[in-house]
Amino acid sequence: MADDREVLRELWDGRLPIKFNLAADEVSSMEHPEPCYLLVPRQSYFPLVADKVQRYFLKYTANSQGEEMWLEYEGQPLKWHYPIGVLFDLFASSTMLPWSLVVHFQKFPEDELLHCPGKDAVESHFMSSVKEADTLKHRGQVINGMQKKDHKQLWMGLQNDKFDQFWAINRRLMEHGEENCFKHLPFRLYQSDKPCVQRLFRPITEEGEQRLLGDLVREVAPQVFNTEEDASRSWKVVIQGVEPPMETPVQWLSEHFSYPDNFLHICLVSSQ
Amino acid sequence: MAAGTLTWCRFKDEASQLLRHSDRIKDGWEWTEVEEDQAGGSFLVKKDVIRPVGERVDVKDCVPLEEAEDEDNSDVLGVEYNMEEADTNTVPCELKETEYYRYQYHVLYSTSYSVPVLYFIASRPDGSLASLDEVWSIVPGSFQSRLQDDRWTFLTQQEHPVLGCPMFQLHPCHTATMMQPLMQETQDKDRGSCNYLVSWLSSVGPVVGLNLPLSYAQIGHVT
Repeated sequence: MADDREVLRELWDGRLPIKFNLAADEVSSMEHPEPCYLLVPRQSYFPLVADKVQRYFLKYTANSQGEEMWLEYEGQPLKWHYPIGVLFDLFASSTMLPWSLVVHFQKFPEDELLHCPGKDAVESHFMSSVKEADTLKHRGQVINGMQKKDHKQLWMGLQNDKFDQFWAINRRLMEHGEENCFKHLPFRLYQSDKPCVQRLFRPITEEGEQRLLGDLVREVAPQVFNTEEDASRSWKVVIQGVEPPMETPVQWLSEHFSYPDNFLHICLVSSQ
Repeated sequence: MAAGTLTWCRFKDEASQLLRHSDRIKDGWEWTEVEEDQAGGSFLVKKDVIRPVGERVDVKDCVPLEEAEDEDNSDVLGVEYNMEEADTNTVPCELKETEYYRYQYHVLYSTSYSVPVLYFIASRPDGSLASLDEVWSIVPGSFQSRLQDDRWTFLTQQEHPVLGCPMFQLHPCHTATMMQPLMQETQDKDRGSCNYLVSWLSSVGPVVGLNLPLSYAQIGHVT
């Protein structure tokens, strides 16, 4: 159960350098603000790390209504409820670093982005994912058997970037259930132009054999292997910024490559 | 199936029953198929429910179907939704200048929780979306106080699992617990097959202004 601590630690410590620029048409001051640079954790969420950015740029805008900040990459509004690493892998994996984003305070794209009224909303969303993941893995028995303070510790561990504090609780969520594996795999598969896909998927076959990443991709996104259909387009399968081999057992991936919300977020990226 | 849950097949069958009745009484429910053959890839939709601003749904008008049928059975649903606490003092809501809200309701099946889930949006006449605060203002008072502590977990904005657009969702994690005594009760009383979907929707719908006319109770006994 998540024995490979080195892998866990390395993923936890993963950072992305980001350059934030205020949208040119929202600058109302005489001088144009310098960009703001931050090194952000891949495992975190933008509302948890971008306070500084908001405070910095607000004074250059005409915003006095407390409008909500939102971020955009090359015309794509970024969903705050996706972990930062997922957004990068999905939209910008081939871009040069630092990752250059545009900050907006106006014209919030309501039909695409959820509102984020505050950190409570991020916590609620995060815990909701953790509960759903445990429902898939253990019928919810582990998460429901924990006390409220344990749930809080998970959240605080993530928010304050405390690996040990987080994993003291999370290791229980990574324990094998009956049959020495999870009941179903908590995963979501993303492609840039489609809603994300989530299906029931068992980590072992009826005969008790380990199912592999290739099996999952073949079942949920067969176009990756179906090169006859569109030979000009080939796909990369990216998880946590790397392309794991197709022979990797999904049970191992779930235990080691999940994000703190306990989901395996798999990005299908065109490799053109 | 675990207690209080239902399968995708049963969800589809009961949705068909609901749709047939809806057509009969012109209640406006439709079936939307986006991912054929995928569990959870199709769902029920009801559009264009107009609700004037300031109208608070009066709880005493929203009696769950089981209560409507059984005069002597006042606690079928268990603790969570006590329909007898009617909020007769409608407090004027502090809402933006607008005349009405247009609601749209979606009933999806959650493959993670094996229960139905209710999603909805409310738009203002200019097409913009109502905020969570505005939506909370139509939640009956008796629910508001009870749900206040769980406000962030019970009714939240989420991505529609199939369409991907932002909608409000009634969180599914307590549904099985809520439905289990009801399913048990139905079995114990040997009332034939109960329509889970209708029972569930008649219980949770009123929280967000969706009422099922009482005539839906008739389809609960199709065997």
